[in-house]
Amino acid sequence: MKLSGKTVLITGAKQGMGLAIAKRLKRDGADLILNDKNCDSNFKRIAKELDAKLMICDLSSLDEISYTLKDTLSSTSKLDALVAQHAYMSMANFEDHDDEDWWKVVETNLLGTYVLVRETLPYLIESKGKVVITSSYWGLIGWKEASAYSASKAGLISLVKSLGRELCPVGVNVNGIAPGVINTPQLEVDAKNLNIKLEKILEMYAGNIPLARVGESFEIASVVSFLLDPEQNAIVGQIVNANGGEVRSRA
Amino acid sequence: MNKKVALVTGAASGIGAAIAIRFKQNGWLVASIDKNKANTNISIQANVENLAEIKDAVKEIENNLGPIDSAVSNAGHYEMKSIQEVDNTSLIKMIQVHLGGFRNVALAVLPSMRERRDGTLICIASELGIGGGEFISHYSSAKGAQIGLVKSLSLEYAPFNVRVNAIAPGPTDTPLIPLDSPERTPVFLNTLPLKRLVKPEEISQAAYFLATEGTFFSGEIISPNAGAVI
Repeated sequence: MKLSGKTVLITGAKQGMGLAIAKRLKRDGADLILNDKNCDSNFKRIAKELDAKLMICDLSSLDEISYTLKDTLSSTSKLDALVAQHAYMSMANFEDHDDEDWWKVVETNLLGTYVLVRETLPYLIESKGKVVITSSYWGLIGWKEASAYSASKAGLISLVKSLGRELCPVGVNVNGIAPGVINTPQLEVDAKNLNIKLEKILEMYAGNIPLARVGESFEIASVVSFLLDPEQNAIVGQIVNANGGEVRSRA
Repeated sequence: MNKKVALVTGAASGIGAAIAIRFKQNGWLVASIDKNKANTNISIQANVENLAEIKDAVKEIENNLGPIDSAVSNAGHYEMKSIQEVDNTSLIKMIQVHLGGFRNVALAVLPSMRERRDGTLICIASELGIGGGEFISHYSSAKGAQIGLVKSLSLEYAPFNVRVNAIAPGPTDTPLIPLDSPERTPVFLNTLPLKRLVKPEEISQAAYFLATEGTFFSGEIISPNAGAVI
């Protein structure tokens, strides 16, 4: 198996794409450390099934990241890959978006990821490891009533590009993924906010997608597996777009 | 179970050969269209610039191996020259091989894929078609044009579940880059974040991904380029 013996930290792994990535990388042979904000019996069961370590940490709290990571990595003493998949999302029109909540989106998505990379870097340099950061196609093209989310995800794109350049010479490979609309529990939240049924929102999104359907979480997990393949090191500082053809552009 | 069928143009050497090997190792039947003979299940010697030849070749391949599940348009040629040295003959040649060659492959394989509502078409473009380059204006124009065609075809064929995508390799360690090329000097390699040329196997890994697991990719470009264009 291509990731046998590799230790991978996946953030936001309790549900949706993060969980799909965890299952996929387990299948590829990786040893997993799974992060999410809260621990519950469901997450404990997932960890048990995947024989994974848990790292419970709210990634909007930058200090918490540092000490929780230190704690977690002192027991594994190695890390081969970081998959920064977590995100906080809330939608509101620009003027009405609560100040604190607006910044929480940016702190969780952009700053949380930044600190995660910074704090894991010594381990990744040691292992000549890889980083995969999940951005979003909304970070490429923007979205109404998602100014904080789009800004945070666009920031991640630039972070990937800069770190791709900066860290490649020390042997750490950094890339990003910009998923299009993916069928995750977040869509239920979106549907609720818009006061429409889930089927309606799926149909609405699919209407904009040339492949005429939204994506599935496992299709993003495949991209992570593709980028972490030890055989592939020539993809550097790139944003890989998987969006059903909705955005045909260089990120 | 029927084996899947791949067509690779320019499979006699370099990136094309690596792609052919990758599909073969994964249990696919592989057909080649190249001016030279290739080590594949069927090797047809034809010129990608000639639409009739390519249509005939594809017919022969489908008659022998079955419908093509994935086609990789890879045949190309490379030439460094300043724009003032590029005469009309070498300009037209460059466009015909790359843009015309890809168009011909697309015209030959897409009708059947559309009918079957299944299939993938992959164009091997170049980072030079995204970021441009010095003294290579005709090549980068042709490669940029391929990318435009990929995006348009992706829109036209996505409704039929046919995915069209591109790979834009960086400088890759193949015979296309001669041993005395400036792209093999330490000075050039040092400009790449990765500090080395791309391996053909890194391109074939991406091609195989797009043909198989990359099921939500359409009209996209994957860039194994050693960080040449970020």
